[in-house]
Amino acid sequence: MPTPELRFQTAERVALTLELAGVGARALAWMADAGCLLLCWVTALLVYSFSGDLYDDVVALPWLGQLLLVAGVFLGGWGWDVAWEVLGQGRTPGKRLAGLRVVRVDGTPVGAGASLVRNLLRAVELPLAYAPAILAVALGARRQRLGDLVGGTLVIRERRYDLSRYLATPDGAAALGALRRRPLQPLPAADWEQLADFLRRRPELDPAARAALAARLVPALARRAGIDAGGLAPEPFLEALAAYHAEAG
Amino acid sequence: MSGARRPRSVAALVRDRRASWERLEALAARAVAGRLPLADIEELDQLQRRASADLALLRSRFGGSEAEGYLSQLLARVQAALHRRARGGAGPALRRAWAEIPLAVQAHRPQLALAALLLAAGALAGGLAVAWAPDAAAWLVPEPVRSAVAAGRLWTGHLLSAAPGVSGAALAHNNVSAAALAFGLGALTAGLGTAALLLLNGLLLGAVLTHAWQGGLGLPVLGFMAAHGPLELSAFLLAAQAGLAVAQALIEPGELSRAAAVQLRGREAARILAPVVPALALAALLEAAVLAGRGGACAGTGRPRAGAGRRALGVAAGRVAPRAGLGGPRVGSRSPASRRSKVQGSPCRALASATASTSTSTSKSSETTSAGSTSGSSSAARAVAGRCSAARSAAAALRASPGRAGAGGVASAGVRAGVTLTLRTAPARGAAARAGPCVAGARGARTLGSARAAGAPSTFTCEVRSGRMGPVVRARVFSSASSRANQRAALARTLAQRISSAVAMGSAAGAAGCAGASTMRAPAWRRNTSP
Repeated sequence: MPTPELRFQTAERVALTLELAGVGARALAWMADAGCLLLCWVTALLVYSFSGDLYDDVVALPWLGQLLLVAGVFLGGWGWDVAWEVLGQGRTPGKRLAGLRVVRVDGTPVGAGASLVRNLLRAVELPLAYAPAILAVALGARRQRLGDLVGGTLVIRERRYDLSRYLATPDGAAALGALRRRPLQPLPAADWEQLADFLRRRPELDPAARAALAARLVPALARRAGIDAGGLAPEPFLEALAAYHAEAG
Repeated sequence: MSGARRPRSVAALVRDRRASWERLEALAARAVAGRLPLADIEELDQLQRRASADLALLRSRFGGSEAEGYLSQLLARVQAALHRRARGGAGPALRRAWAEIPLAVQAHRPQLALAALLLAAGALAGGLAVAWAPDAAAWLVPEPVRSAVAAGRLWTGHLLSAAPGVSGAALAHNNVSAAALAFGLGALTAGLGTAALLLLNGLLLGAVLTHAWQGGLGLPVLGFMAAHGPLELSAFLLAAQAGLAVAQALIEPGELSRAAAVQLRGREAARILAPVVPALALAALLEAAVLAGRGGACAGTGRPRAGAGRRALGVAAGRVAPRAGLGGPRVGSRSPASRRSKVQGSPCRALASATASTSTSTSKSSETTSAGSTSGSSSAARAVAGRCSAARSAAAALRASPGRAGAGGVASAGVRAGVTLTLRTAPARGAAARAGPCVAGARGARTLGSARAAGAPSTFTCEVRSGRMGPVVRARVFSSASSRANQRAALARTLAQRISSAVAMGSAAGAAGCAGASTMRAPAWRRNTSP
């Protein structure tokens, strides 16, 4: 099943896609935020309990202190999400953890008004154990819950890409000499990505599986590249192939 | 394209272009976070165009690569940074809000009228129901309120005794929840839930007010609500208006698609909602302030004002019966005895002000005390005495306490080695200006005093309130010569014991001292904190 995404076009006529976040990642982000908030309160109370009796001190607070206390409790409950989303470019700590970001439907950063609306509407969904939100996110075409719909926002997922996979590894550079004298066809992108994935993941693979996979990859990739492996063992051949593509071109 | 040479593989393209993509990424991050100088903006523009071309190339020749995903995400971020809304700072935003919020409210006047109508209808129905059949209160009025009204006092006292100060935050949270529900149900149930909520709240409001009125508490309740009620109800109605506005877009999207209509209306609803949250916070603050202000429900100390203190002094002389707290500090009007009897259960605070010890400047106040005690025989004063047992006992303690009492009134007792504690009354009206740190219940439990421990001054608060088992004394030392918490705690414990034993002795002494003791409630600490 393809990941749901939002497609839109820039002024330069480039089509862009935003990957929409699903229930799991959003639930994770919510739990992390709730945990953060809880931790903040518990820590504050704990630290406070070393120095005094809450009841007595609240009673003895001056006006400004009571005002700040009210503001603090109030913001802790309701302003956490709004403040983070507005000031942190759409990311609360939980969303940062889960790689999520709240944006407007046109992809621009979320503002105070939209954030206020989308978070105030939690008050309706929270008493129902977020059931409407979960259903709406799971089934909706754009994965918006009620607050997103009214606020005109989306939650997108941002992946962490690592471009260093396209760099030549030292091992590959060493093995490259054997291939250099033969004519090579460039690999199609999909095959190249497969090769890069294998090279990145092979330290985590079971040795037998790793050898079997390398043995299966070699003939297919060699055919695409228009050469034969020659005397090279499977993995050095794959490294050399990757290094060739990283270096030449 | 950058050159004639076409890259033969993704890796080669990435290798060529990676530095410029990363530069673009950094510029975009800076653009989102703040402003960019012109040169950087031009560079951002150029880099974005080249990256767009790179993305097109990746798509056409190397589709499905990781680099394509990276570049697509990067360009989306750049796009967001370039096309974000203008950021003008707080000033222009406030000016815009000032102009747009009233417009948004006016644009949906029918919804506001409907919300007000529903609330009023509910209130009318609730009021009529209870007026018609007082038994209906059993269903419509919450139990704590009913028992409080039956006991003849305001139920708000409960809130205070549960958690003063915190109650303000709790109130704010409750109110915002209710407002959010009123708004949210509009979107979720197409307005039906909002209408039901309005009716229900109106019903409750009408029923409670009528019930309180029947119980003889009408004016006090209205007085209590006067400070925060209008603000709170207005904010609630605005939230309901926003909910109904969204509901209307949901029911009647017009030429737009339903989702687009809701979204468009949601933006206007956000403008209506913008003042709701601060207004509710302010209302909760006012409510908490009123609660805290009436915390010491002793006669005439409902407001933390110096003037109230002076009037309380007049009360104390036994000439005028104080109007017991609930109606506000309206001293000078005689209250019927039935009204007075209703407040007997209210928490009554008095002060025990303590100063460093050897003061002899209070002989005048001691005379006041005794004068008060002679005039305290009137029935009104006895009623006060019955309520303000703590105040009475503190005053009586002045006479009963052993120690280095000066010419009467000053009770100093050895608390611990090197600690001397003096309880003394406030002076009468004329001498108010040069009274010592005499503090009243008017500011809730805040009673400041100072004690001298081993020659060094300490600041402490002390609160005397009537509990079920008799007067309860709390003392808390804030600063003292010893900075160690346990020593301060020990000092506070000693102080509390000392004061409570003094109070207990005073209780045994009877009601005679009450009128004089009442003078101690002068909320004059602001003027008089200097030793």
